Amino acid sequence: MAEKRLVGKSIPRVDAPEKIRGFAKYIDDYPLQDGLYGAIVRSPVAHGIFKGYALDENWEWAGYTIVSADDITGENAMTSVVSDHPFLAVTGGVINYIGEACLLIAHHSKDMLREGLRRIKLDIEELKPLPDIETQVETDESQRPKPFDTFNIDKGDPKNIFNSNDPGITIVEGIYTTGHQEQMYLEVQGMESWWEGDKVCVAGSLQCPYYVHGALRSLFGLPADKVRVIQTDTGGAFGGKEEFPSLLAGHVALLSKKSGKRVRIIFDREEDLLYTTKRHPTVSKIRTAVRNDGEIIAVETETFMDTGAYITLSPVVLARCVLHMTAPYEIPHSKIIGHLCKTNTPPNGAYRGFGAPQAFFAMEMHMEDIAKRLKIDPVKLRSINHHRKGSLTMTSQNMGDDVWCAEVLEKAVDLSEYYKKKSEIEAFNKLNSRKKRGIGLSLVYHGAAFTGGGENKMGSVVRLEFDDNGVAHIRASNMDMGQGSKTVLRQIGADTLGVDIDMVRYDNPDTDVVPDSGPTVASRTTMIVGGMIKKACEVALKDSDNKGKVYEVGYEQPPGLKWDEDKFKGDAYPGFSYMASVVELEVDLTTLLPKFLSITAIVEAGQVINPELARGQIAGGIAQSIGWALMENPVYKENLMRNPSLSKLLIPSIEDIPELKIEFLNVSESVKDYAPKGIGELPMNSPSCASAIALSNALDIDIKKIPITASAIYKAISEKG
Amino acid sequence: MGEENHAKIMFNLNGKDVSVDTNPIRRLLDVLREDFKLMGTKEGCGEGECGACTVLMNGRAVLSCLITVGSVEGKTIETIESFSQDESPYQEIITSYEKEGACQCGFCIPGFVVSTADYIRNNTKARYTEGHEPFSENSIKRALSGNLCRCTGYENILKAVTQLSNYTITEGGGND
Repeated sequence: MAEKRLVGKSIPRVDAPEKIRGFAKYIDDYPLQDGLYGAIVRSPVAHGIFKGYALDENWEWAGYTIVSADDITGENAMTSVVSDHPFLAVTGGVINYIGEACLLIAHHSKDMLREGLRRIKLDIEELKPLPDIETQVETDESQRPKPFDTFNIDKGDPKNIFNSNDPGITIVEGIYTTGHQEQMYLEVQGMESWWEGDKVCVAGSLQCPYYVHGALRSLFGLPADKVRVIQTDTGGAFGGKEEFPSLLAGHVALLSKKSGKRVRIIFDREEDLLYTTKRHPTVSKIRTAVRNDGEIIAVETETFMDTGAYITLSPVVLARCVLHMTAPYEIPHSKIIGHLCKTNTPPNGAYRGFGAPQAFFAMEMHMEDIAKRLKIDPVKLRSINHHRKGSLTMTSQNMGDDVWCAEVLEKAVDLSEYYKKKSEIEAFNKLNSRKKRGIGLSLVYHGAAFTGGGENKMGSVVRLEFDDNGVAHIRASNMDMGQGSKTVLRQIGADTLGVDIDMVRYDNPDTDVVPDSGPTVASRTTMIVGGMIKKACEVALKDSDNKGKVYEVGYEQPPGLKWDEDKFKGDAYPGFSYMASVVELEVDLTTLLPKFLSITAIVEAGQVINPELARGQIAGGIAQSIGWALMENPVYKENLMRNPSLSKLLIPSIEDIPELKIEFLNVSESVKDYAPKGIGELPMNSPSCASAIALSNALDIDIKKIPITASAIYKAISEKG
Repeated sequence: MGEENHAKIMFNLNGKDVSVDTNPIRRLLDVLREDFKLMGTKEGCGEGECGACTVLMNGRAVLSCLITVGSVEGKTIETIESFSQDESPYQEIITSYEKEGACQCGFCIPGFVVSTADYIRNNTKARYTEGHEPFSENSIKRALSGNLCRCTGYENILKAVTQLSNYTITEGGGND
């Protein structure tokens, strides 16, 4: 059996052949049989009272289906953390963002649909919108709109340290701001619905079949077996198809119910960019008390996170943000505050990293500020403060033995030739007046899987069904959005059963067939769902003959984990993955465009199931991370994105990506049993910081805000004089 | 809506002569997907920025979201579906992408594969031109810079194309 081991091998991606040949079927690739195309009639105002609507009297409306909130029989609210987001605006109700759905319309002809959309007039009484997040932060606390929620995490007595007036302690302060980011999955949002009698069915591009299932149950007041959700091949998601598809599913299902026909809505890119969820903007104030040798002994942070018009999953995003706020640094005294602030912009939501990248940008830039102030080498500053075995986090979680800061840091310095490059760059910059180079290093970690008790509450289940030929079918609600779970989960199953990978199958989830094994989020699929599949296989191995048998296992929390949700105390995550990255770049002072020269990434993620696919996650994450920091700039003015096109909101192209040096720390000898840790989100956390640091070093400017645009660079250079 | 302008447009599609009676200003992308059910050609942005809708016209890469079906009259169009046909001169491209695992969500990849065919055909023609460096990293990157991918970081796509450096395409390519 030893030679049959599949775990640790780069099994080729099982879905690659059909995707590369163009045969994979995304939702818009299925023929729409005798169906209608749907659209959303959206509010043109950011804040107002919905008074009603009027149809153009000079237009023939036969053949159109029009749905308003009056057609909703169940609960007119998206089920998420709170139920505040209506599927459709109610007459007399408040509208909270430009683009909020007021009515739905469908027609069998796309041209007629467009024409109909143009001929509906909404009557909305405008109200004054809330100030944007940066304005709210600048406003005196007494005048500021009350945050929706505030989290506090306290450890030790930071106040005492800050007030000590100890001459051996330096106090460093800074404010760090991050902007929106669009997931920019290449396949836009799309969904189709049909009814089979009193059963609602939807199929589409989505990450979480059971989130959509729950949303439809409450929208129509239906029992579980009267709702069916099918995931079709999904062209990227990155969090963007976590909660948003529930809203779209509700819309197509309402249109389908009223028309009695299949209804499909596929956004165009502009609609997708304007109205779907984005990464939450944040403003973080940080102050630290640092001993003159570089040891950080106290920290106070206050983060303001822009949830947009509705709450969506934002409290969970904010929790992850504040829980990562001190980065992988052990600071004995800390006070960490996070506020969730509403604005009248389209709701923000899940995006790879889920609040953590914002926290790392703030803390890693602050580390650079400390290093400059105390004239300490920034690598050394990180070495002095990073977690070690047995370190205690801000929630007093004991990090135990599974800590790899020193190792990833050291290897990143070696592999990137950080110090050699640094002196070469110094010489280069002295000789060149037009081009300047810089290098930056960043150390991060990422809490894998759900925060705190989330996994326990979810109560996930996976099933293993053996058919009469002895082929094992994995039944789980997790999906492959490109990250490779179709390959990796089969690999884990086949490895455990000691069979060929073809003897284990795994299809796109259909809620009529699969149990709820939780959403495909939080870097949890390989770690948590993979672990459950392994367990189900181990149970199956106890039987001599599996043919026709079904094995079901539920999630069991690893022993010893304790989490106090109210006090934010204890084990915030079941494991942490680690990464250090080094970015080297060059800026042409005549164009102010940064060009990446090399990127090094060292990753520790426990046991690596499929090295090639894991590397692909890191490479792709690096591109999104540097894009967020230095390239992509969604411009929000008057409560809406004003550059909603791929040609104006540039994402990295192949020409922007330099040589990538990616290595995984080989910890296999210390891994006794199945122990992968999440890697999907980890690479989003670090290269953004390293890029900003490299740019700041190249031009000798302060960078407190990303995305950094050419005009921001110009301003910083001018101010420097 | 006014009167619809209709015309019969004839062209060669994936090796077969076809004709379509339609409004000639429809996007080639829509005609390929809606009338010919060739779903491998994708719409990513609809403004010629992402390259997911790339097809070959007389052997050269074009963005099917930016050209009208009327403009392909008498021309040869090849879509990703033709690449895996038995007699296709492009099969090695598919094989190389597969071997390098140059694919994650897969939505953009058909466009990359089609652009790669254009690049290789171009290199085959220019192979003996002085100063031309076929399959240098920079030349590959330049050729594929019109295709966007959000998943892969492009690493394996670059490898897949680099692996094709001994491969030539001499057939087809039209007269331009």
